[in-house]
Amino acid sequence: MQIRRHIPGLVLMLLLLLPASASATWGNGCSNENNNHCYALAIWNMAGEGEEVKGMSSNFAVYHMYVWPSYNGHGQSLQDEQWMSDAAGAWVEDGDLAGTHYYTEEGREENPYSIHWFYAYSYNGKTIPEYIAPWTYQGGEWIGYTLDDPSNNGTWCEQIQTTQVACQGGFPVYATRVELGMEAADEVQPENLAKSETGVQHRNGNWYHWNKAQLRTVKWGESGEEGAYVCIQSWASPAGYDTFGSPAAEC
Amino acid sequence: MLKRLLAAALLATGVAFAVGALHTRGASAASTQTEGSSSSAPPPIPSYLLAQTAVQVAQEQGDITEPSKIEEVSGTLGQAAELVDPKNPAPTVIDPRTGKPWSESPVDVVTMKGAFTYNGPMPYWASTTKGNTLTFVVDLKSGIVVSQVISDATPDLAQISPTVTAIGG
Repeated sequence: MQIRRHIPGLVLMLLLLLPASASATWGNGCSNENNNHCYALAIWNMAGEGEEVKGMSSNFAVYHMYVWPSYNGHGQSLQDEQWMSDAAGAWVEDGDLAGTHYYTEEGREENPYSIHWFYAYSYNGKTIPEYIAPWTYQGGEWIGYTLDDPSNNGTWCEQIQTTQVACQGGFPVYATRVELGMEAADEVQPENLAKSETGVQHRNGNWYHWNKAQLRTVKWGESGEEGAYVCIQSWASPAGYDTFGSPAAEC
Repeated sequence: MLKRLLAAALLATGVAFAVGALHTRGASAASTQTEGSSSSAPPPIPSYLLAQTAVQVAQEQGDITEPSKIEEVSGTLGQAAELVDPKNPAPTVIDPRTGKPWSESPVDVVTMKGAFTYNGPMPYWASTTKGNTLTFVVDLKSGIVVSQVISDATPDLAQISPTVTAIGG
């Protein structure tokens, strides 16, 4: 009788302990190891073969971003981001990132619970430099990120709000693929809720709201749908407005 | 007996959450920014922490054995960027912690040898890259690994400073 009275409490304890001791994968094999990143994506539907754009721009508002403690010493991370790429596979991405804790941060933690601006790129398929800003942003505010080629010379640049913050050469003038969403590189399912408003810049220089996006949840390197572990939803009005996150109930 | 078990479970839960709080960088709308504005130079990062972080980074980037030939040099982010991708300049963004270009911020640049496969942010369809050299950059103020890149060519850290230090085993 006495034991039965304590069972609900013990069950609660076990449930509370579960995230810290969960298995090394979640979803359909999502994890940080071996690049098994999982994505919730909105993919711009190009008008047809050969359509190109000059740039893309997204306002992101991150309402919640939580990465569980490192698992087996492997850094875990979560990104709310946008990608712009060409037909040959060169790409640039930027957005918000949480996670990736390392020993060097011991005693130097500035703000362990915030969002970092980041960008990464690959123009030659051989190297992928990435940069993560050490300062932080608060969640819950709209921040504008733009990827474009302002000089029309194959140098793609990142902007935060209206300020150009980085550029990389070696790209074509126009991009043929634009996407945005969430990328989870985590052993334990992260928590995330973010919203975005996105548009692309056509070759005539005019900006258009994101329209007719194809929505997908997918694991890196695979084409199958990932299912109900992460989510993304588009809204007809206003145009170009998406909500995405993890777990799927967030959307 | 059961009360003791319950107390132990509660203690374990508390410890688990405390560890989570210490070792997790997430965010919520309720988070606050606590950037310092001190202009004094941050203290150097102890070699043992750089060595431990090198192993962490190497494992994350697919190296299943311990990395070798770990070397470190102190410099700026701009110098590090020029070293890892000479074709492209460092970011021009202003560091809100100092009001100066981020490229001028003090960093430790670490190189190591191993068998690495890129495991970082990338499009879901993109090919990953492989290489026997990994370079990572640590922001001295926060200790955050702010940049990393895999290559087959070993960057010459002496281009940043002649004081190149071997760390770890």
